[in-house]
Amino acid sequence: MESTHFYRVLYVLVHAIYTIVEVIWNATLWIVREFELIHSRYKNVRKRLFTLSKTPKHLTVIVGHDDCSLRDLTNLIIWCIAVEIPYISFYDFKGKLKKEEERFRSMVESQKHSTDHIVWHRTAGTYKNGFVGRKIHVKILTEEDGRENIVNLTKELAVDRDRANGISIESINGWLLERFEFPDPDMGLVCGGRLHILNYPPWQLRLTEFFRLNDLSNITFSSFLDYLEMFSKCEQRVGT
Amino acid sequence: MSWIRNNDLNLLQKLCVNVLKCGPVPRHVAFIMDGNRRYARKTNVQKAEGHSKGFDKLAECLHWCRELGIKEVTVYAFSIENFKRSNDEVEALMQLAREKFQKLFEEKDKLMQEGVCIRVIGNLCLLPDDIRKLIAEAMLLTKDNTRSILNVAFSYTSREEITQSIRSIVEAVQDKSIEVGDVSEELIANCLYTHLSPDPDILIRTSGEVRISDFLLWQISNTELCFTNVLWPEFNIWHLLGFVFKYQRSRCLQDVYKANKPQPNRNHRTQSFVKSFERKRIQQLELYARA
Repeated sequence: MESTHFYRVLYVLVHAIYTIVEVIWNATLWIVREFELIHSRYKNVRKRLFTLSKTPKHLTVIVGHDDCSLRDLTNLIIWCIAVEIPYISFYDFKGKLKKEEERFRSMVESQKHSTDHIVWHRTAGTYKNGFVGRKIHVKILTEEDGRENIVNLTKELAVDRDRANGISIESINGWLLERFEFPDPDMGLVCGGRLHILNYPPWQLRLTEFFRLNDLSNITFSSFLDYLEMFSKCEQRVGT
Repeated sequence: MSWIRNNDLNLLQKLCVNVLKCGPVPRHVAFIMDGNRRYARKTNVQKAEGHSKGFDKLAECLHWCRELGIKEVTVYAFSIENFKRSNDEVEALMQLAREKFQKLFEEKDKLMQEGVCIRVIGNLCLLPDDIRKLIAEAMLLTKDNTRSILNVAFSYTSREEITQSIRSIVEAVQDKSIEVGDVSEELIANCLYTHLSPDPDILIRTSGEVRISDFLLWQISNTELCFTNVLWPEFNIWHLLGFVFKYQRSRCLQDVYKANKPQPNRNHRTQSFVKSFERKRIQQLELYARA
């Protein structure tokens, strides 16, 4: 009995100390970042961009428990256009972003370069062809794009004998891809204190490289480049 | 090296284990044991030796988990994609599996006494006959043990698992055991290889890779992902304690999220389908064990 009390006291103490250290550490990081911001805003960006050995084809951003500002998300889209990432998606398990989609869309349209083209994937057939300039595909994902899609596909297959005979990993992948519209994300930025995927569409996450973004607010192009550099260093072996 | 290890922790380790046990401890931890080959290269030994070291680490790690009160552990031992490796390496890995499963029977008494249940998750059809037989026997032998559960993902990928689940459900609708309306997320989960396990609370991947590589994709929807640079054979108890500590710090968030999830509803028809599905699995194992 004595010893359990002792352990409990230690438990509370250790967690308390950690919390204090964490707060101080975050404050220091914040100060350092602000300092860097003032002094080296656009330094070396061009050079760093040039050294990226690869960039993701589909960047997916998992918005965590905290809300994020549309302005930061807009910045991400603009930067993705700049580094020629063709697909970006935002996953918000709370569904809030989906509700604000119109506002988000008009904000992006007002910020982008006039020759850039943004393809919003909401309902099928939103494609517009025949334009010149840079292009990016944008999609807002919710929980419904994940497991629910797999449930619906299973229901369809159950009443369609022809398709049911052809069930294989490849065919399921093809059918789910039709619904998901985007290639599997190869890079995932997870916002918030912990790496949780929060019910993200499971099938698509097979080979996604994950990076945790402590705080999406005030993310700079330079720190975005940090993540792209980390991504470009990842090497995939796929089993072999 | 054996499956059950009882090497004692030192005083400081024991103290830390006891302190952490005062808070919430994960029920289920999943590991992607990556880095055996890099370890072999680093220490100038054969690849097979690296894999063997990896297995020893697993046994050690299971012991730490038991000490911490982590009831269930799932490890990614061999992916279906790994069949693409060189013949020599695949054969060496199969030989290791063969030896370890044989060893398991030698340690039968200890295993039963500790109440360890071993389940192999994956597509057993792809394995050599003798290994499949050994696995089936091991699973049947330990299936009623409940104190500590070890799931070994062997010849496994998550996409294959989900595809198999979809296939079983489609077949069940076609032969009228269930109706289309019964298909739900819960039903798909019930037909996965892992249907007997709760979802993992944390997933640990070693050796610096930051992806999930087709492991438990369906099951980790609310799991904390932990990536660490250490190679699997060099993983030690402090790494594990660190992850448990971090898990304790993020617990409050998880609870908020879980509360949003809808409660599953199951009707009689689905229940009896799930039960008969489970029975069929056991029968299949018995068939493999007799082969």
